[in-house]
Amino acid sequence: MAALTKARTGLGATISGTGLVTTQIVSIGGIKVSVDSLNITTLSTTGFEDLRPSDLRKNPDLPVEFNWLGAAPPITTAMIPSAEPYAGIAVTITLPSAGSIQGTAFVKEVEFPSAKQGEIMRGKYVLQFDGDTDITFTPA
Amino acid sequence: MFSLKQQYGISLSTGENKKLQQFQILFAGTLVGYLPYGERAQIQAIFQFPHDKLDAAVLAKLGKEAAEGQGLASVTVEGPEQYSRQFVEQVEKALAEEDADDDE
Repeated sequence: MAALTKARTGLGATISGTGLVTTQIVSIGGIKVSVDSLNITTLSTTGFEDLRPSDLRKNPDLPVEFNWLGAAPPITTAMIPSAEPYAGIAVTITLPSAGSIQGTAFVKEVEFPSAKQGEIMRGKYVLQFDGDTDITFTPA
Repeated sequence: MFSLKQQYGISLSTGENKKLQQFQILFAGTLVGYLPYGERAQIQAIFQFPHDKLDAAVLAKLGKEAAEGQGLASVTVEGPEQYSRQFVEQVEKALAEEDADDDE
């Protein structure tokens, strides 16, 4: 699959994962992978302080908004696996012709819709990547 | 035509190109979904695409087999139910090959 040659919007992006709401998705993410910075400045440092990265990446969370259809419970043991040994949900986010991001996660938060006149009912869940399987990126 | 391609991903911690536990499902070279594998495979996130019918009866059969503990564990369908029988055959073939690899 060829990567994009011209930038485009997120229309067409998808998310998959057992038990997750994957239809009527309104927005996904974004994912922010980060690492802490450690200060290694000493008394002999001059000019700017000295920093270096910490050892491990931090697992991101990922908010997903969807149109609320009410067909199924929004939070189940499929979303928060309870079986031991723990194994997270394999999640894949596919960007339209722009690669995909994979990793294991669990749902850490579900938000029911606000009911308002003149406003679409939308729900939201937040995935927490768990590091069980490294987050990986597959180029387009 | 449909094809299944072993998916690899670059670890965002080590930079290693890792073999992932899923196939990419391609139709005429376009990514249309994923087929994770494990003890029992699941077809997930089959994106909308035009093709000859994989109709409701075939999906029902797959679902029934899943309920009886055979075949695929689950089938998630999104968009119009227009998926190819050939695709199902390829999935079954790939799974059989996966089983054969496991037996070796």
